[in-house]
Amino acid sequence: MSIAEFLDGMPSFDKRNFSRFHSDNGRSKRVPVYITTDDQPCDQIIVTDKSNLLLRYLHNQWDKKHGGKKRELVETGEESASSSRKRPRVDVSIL
Amino acid sequence: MAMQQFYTVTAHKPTAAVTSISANFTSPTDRNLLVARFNRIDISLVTEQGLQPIKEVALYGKIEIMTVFRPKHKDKDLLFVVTARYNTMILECLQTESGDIEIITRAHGVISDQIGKISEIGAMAVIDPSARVIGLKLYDGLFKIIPLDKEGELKAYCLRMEEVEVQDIDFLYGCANPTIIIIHQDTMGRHIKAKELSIKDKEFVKTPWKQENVETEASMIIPVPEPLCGAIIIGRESVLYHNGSFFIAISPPVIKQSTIVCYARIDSEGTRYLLGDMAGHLFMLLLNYEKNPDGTFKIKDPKVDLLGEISIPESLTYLDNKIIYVASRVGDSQLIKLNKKADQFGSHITVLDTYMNLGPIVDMCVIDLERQGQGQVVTCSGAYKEGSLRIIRNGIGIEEVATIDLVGIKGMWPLRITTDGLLDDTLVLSFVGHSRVLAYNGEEVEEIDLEGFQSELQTFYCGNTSNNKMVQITSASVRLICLESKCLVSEWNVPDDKSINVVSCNGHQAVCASGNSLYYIEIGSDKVSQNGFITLEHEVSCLDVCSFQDQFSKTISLVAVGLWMDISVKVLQLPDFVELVREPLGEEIIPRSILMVTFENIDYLLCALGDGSLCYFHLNPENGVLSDKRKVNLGTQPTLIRKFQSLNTTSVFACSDHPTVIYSSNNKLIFSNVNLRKVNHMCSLNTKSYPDSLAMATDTSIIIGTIDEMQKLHIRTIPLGEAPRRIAHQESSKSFGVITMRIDVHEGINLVPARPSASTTAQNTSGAINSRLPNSTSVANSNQGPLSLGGSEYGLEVEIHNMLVLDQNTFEVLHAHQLNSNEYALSIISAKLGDDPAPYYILGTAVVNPEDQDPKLGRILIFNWDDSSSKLTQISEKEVKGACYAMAEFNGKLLAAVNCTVRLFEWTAEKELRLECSHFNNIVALFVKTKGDFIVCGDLMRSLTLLQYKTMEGSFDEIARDYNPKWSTAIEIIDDDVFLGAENDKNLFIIHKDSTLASDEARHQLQEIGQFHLGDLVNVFRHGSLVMQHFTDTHVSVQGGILYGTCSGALGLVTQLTPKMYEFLTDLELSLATVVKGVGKIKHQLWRSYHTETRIEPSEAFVDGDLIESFLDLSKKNMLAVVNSLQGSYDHDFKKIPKDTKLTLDDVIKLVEDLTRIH
Repeated sequence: MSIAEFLDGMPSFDKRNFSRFHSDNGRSKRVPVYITTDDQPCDQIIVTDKSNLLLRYLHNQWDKKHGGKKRELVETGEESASSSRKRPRVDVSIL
Repeated sequence: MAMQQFYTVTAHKPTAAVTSISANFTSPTDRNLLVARFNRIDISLVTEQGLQPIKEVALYGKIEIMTVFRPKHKDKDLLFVVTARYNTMILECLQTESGDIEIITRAHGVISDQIGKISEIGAMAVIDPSARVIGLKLYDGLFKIIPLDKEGELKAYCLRMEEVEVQDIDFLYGCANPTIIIIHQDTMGRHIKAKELSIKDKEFVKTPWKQENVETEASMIIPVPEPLCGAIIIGRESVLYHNGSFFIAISPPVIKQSTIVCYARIDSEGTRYLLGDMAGHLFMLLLNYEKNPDGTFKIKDPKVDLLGEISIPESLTYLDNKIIYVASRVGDSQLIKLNKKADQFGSHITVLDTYMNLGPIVDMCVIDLERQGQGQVVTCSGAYKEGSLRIIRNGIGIEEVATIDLVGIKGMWPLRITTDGLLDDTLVLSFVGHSRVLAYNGEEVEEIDLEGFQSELQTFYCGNTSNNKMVQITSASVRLICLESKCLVSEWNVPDDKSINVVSCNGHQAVCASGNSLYYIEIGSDKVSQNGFITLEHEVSCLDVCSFQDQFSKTISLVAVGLWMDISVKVLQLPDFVELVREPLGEEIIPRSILMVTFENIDYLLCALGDGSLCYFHLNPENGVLSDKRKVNLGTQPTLIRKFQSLNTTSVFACSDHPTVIYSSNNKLIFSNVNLRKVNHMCSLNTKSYPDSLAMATDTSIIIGTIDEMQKLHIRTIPLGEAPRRIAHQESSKSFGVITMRIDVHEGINLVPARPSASTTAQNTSGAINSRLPNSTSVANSNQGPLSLGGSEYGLEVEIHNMLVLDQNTFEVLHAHQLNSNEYALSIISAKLGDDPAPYYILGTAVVNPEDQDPKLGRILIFNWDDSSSKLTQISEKEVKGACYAMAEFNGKLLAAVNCTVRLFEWTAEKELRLECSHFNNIVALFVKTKGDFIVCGDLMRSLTLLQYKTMEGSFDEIARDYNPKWSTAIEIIDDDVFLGAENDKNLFIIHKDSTLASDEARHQLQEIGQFHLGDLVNVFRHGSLVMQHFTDTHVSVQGGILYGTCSGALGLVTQLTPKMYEFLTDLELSLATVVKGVGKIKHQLWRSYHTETRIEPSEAFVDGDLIESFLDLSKKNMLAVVNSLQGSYDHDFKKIPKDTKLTLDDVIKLVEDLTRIH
């Protein structure tokens, strides 16, 4: 029977776990609440790369074709052009 | 304009599980269970005894995703969490030197994008098995990558994903580059595709393999670990294993009944899995394979079998040794064990433990059966088979173990008569003019004659003393009785044949009062002797003797005395009755019971008065000085207070018409109601059969019971087995009317209930009981031909709606009235209409045809429930042109929200509903609430409208409306011109009608004056309170409190604040938000800011009570830091003063304590 076969190989990390199990019968203990006032140093900040997907793709393609040599020029030229005409992105996620 | 400001606080924390996982989180060797519930993570440890809760970690955000990963070269797991507002964090747990744990935010940030359509299927996060990247599916057509093996900034980027409708996603094992597998859908059907990712190029570089047109309802991917690799694809009817070059599929009949929604991998080789479906079935999935000589694998047919039934699972977590945690969102979570041998019902499952969940709270009502200003909440909780009613009341639960019928008990005490025994074996009972002794022999109890015991008189005290002796104090004498020789050893008689009427004894000291004479009796090892005497100016009404140790360990014995006539309390010192203190109570009611007690090293004097109120003081035992007087109202009748021991802590039981347990938590006194009607006397009892129990005397019996550990809300569950939708209480017939929905299944031409439930097992039934399909109306209303009942219909699930009538005390289902299979019950109220004295249950329905955009037809049904004959009679029926979403009684008439209209019906003498007037300006009118002549209507998407009924014209007038669109989910009236609402974006808002504005146009606009992000979806608001107004001397009041119930199973309170309190609490909130650091570095201000797709604004006119109450969890040092960083200066009454704050830490603690007592 497959259920017996299935249950036979159930792993055990520690045989003692649940060996003396008893139910709390709803007498649930009050669990301590975690609260901290320490200023933790932060290791890493997760940020989102906001570069345009299509541009990134085109740059990648360019790189592949031209070995990345001319890209620098193209990119800077393009950026200075766009910055003169377009307003910078407003980051509204920061309240 | 009067300012309106509010305090909102969670009274019962959310309990619906979002997900559960196992991990080595708290240490490399600890096996932990982590359960996410709304905004908190419950961390437990797997131990020999079972699951041991370690910590509750609250976040400033609703947890949407929680998963673990093991970074390279680490020996324990990290936690990755995403909140509903896309706050993202990586958390690590560290053990501190003190053995406590610390949660460190390793990384954090916001991962939302400004553009993109949020995926309808919900946010998904998957982590590459080698922990190189985290993949997130938040928006359609985009796949976001967070690289993990980077130092410093983690720069997430998006990849374009040409597959738009993605059903499920995961990483494959055993790939050189991170490779995902997806199930996606297009017009042709569903397909699976593996996509390889280049971290360097930030692109999907190739598609290693794909399989088009898998099952049309394939919904879940289970990646298979090495050595096998590949993935299992779970569909509605089939299980497919595919690894790119080889596949095998089976179609096990057992899984067809429902949809599989979650899995748990059992072993690291990936051969064993558990599957859970939406109907609460637990299946096993076995994927066996053999290794071929050439290194390839021969995969056998996967095997799927049913193991048994569990709570409808949200996730399954294998803990250890065949024990599994079942996390449920719509029912109670469970701890289950798998057994090799099936039980008599064929189930391989034993439920070891259940974890209460009230969610989703769909509806609720607040009732006050004892009419004492304290509400009980009855909720419609859970969904499908997990549906239940939950009765929630503030207090402590006593589980009755045994009862003995006995009338007229005046006192009782436990006693140990077996010499050298450690447990109680006897209970002494006192009656007017005589006493009795009951001996416990196992669970048997018998009356015995105890030699030396005076049973001809009323006993005032009885108890063990040293050297196997006992003391009995009767109305005539103090008697020392030897339990070995069973004879009277010594006796002290009251002089002059007077009789004792008040006594207190602590085993070796007794004080006895006779009128205004007070005697001090010392109880030696073999002699009782009078050692003091005093005559007081008035008769003694109550007494207590208690010993304390001073700082030099010297014993101080104090007597507290309450006196008739002058209504004061005295503290006297023994042996000479030296008067230390006389404290007038300043009340007009005589003290009836007095007690000195020490809680958490603080000494108190409690004094219960004849009107059920209780005064209490801090007591300095060295000089008897009483300070910090406070008063609470516990009951309405004379109250007796007794000390008892339970679970190794001292508590006080107040016996009255409203039994209350008084205990201390965090150095504050908690007054907790007990779920018993009336208790006259009580004592603790610790016998072999009844360990750690209480004996309580009512008017007619003794109840022996065990007491819950101190808790504030007591919850009773009435399982229904089907989903409750709406509830109404009818006081006159002592009943509840409940709308429920159950699932029936097509079996040939009949519909058969999927399982027994409340409506199928009711005592009586009526309505469309014989659910033959198709019935005439559904055919008439459908444009298709007659329904064919071919193979495709067989097994089809149909929703069947019922109205149930339940007894208000026993919750028995007395009657079930069933609607037709295409008619949905949407609303129910209990009301009296017009001059008709009979109370009615009024039911609003909709006839639902799948092809209609809105229901075109509905009914209002009027029933009378006669509780004496248990008969439900339909009085009237009114057809309406749409769905009747909500109703309210309105000046003797019936107000109904029907599709986009609000309609008013008159109740005629012929007992029929007659339409009087209508209001049409809505998209869908979902809610109506009334006050006086005013009506507030909540719209599906157009917020609130205020209507007035013109009595003379018999018409509605639209007075004002909120022009800012809001998808309302619940509304309530606070007062004549202030309204509370909750919306789909999980915000609370306050709307104000400003009558002072000049122009008509301005007055027609309701103003938004308050807003707050709750994060949870509110389904219902009800006026009421869970606590009695105990405190008469406090700064806070719960007058006008409104309770709310949420989707995650939380109960909360919204109550108004005075401007002074609001000013102070806002300051305190801000200060707390600075001192307390949010886990994951989310700012409190951001969490509570009003948030919709188009607007983000700071919260306004609300104080977050959950943050305020966390003040009490802080250390004294941090509390001081909070108080010191307040912006303003305040006096002791929290009034703002120009400079030099007079506020002390104790003032703030006292205030916050009071705030915790309003719910």
